Amino acid sequence: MTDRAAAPAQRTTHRSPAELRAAVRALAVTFRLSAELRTRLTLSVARVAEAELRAGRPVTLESSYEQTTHRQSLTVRLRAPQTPWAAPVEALPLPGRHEAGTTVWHVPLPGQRRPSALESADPSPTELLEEELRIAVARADALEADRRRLTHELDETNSGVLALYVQLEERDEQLRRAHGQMLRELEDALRPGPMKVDGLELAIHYAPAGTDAPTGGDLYDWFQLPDGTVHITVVDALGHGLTSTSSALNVTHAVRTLALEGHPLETIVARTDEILLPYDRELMATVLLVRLDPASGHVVLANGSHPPPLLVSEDGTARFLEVRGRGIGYPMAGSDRLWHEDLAPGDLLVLYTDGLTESRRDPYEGERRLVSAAVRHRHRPTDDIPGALAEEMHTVILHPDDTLALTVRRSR
Amino acid sequence: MKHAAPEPIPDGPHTVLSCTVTDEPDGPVITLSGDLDYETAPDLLAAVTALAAPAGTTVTLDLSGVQFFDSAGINVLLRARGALHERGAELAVRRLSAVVERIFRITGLDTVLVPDARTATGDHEDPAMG
Repeated sequence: MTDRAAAPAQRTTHRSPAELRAAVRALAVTFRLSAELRTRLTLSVARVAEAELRAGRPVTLESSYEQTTHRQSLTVRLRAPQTPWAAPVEALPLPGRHEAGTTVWHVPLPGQRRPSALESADPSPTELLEEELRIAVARADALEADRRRLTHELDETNSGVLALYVQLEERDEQLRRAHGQMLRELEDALRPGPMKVDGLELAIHYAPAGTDAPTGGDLYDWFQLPDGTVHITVVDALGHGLTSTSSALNVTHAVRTLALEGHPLETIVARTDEILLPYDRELMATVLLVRLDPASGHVVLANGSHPPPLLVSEDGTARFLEVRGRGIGYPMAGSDRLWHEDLAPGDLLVLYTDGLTESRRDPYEGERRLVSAAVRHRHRPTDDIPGALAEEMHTVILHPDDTLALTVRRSR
Repeated sequence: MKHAAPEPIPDGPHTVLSCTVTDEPDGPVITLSGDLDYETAPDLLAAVTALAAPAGTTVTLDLSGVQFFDSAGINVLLRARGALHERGAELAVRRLSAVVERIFRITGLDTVLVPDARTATGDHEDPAMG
């Protein structure tokens, strides 16, 4: 290698840390190492030699310089000839390694020897230290500024992510609201709106068995016939969810058509069964039909398998109006007879589905509780009563089911 | 055929029905114990359709141990009855528990499946107070 040049190795022996440090610094100045590299090399050499010097044994510092076409480098060796073990080189400010009983640092030198920041030809140890300190402080400041900038960036990123989450949550909430709104509109479309009839107060409460299927098999219908009497249908179709809603709608529509066509009330349950069963052999529904004359308070009932309405009088007496009959899809479908009753002003008629009375699995127990609840709530505004009954009947739910409660009061 | 059923859990999310078949002089008797509802209805239908019930046979359901009975229970009784009618066999019920008796009365099912009056167990008073 003709383009290789090497200066002869220089070797000095040291017995104190201060002396060793001064020698390393002088070496660094000679080779015009940067102040930072000087600091790192000095601190590293001093640390490796520390234990040896404290033990009173000398160390030897060797330096050699090599130059090739492309680079030049300085090799620094610390020899501790009497050491029983090699000093550790882990985590030194300037990494070094063990090589045949010495600790070695290879320090690459810049392509061109740059003049040191120090103008003085022979800087004093204090000047060297001050320069190193100044650079260390500047570096610490730069790092601190970097840290602040990164922390700020991180904060901004975090708040951006947070804002994104908030935005997503708002979107989610909007979708939930829209979804709920759509379902409510769908339910409203299925159920007739409030009906105002002079002489009567009508109120309704409906709740499905599950929140995932907002509509169930419980449905009602009310309308006024040409002669002024009010017709109410309450139906409970077998099953839960939309399929049972569809069955219940078929029943209320068939009943409505038959009633408006003038079919006698006592035939409507049987006739509805005859009409619908050929199209749906699986259809099964209980149905209660109520006719009210708003002027006289006269009530006529027909029933197919449906739980009996409860009549609560103004004076607090109560009784169930049981009309025998079998519902849609039952053998021998039809109401066995009609029930006639006269409502006095203030009397309350409670129509419901079995979800109201069988939430604790026992119909007797449910009927007893319904009687006492209805008697207790009878003086509340009619609009509040169905909800109040449902709330009281459902304090414990062992058997969740669609629930409907409908109240009719003859105005006082 | 005997289904070994664990203890019914009245408040649990799942209901249990056991169906025990015995042969009596008047025909096979299935004694039900537990809840007859949407979840257990297929068990009863399977028990009835698996019976060797030739034409003319009357299969009797003993309902004294039924603790819960709803519209799905009614539906399965009517299905079982229909399945037996197809074979020329008949379905009868006896010893209705109080809960079953009330539902039979409300729904008018007692006029379709007339319980044997001598063995009825339900004796509740009218729940409506005067």
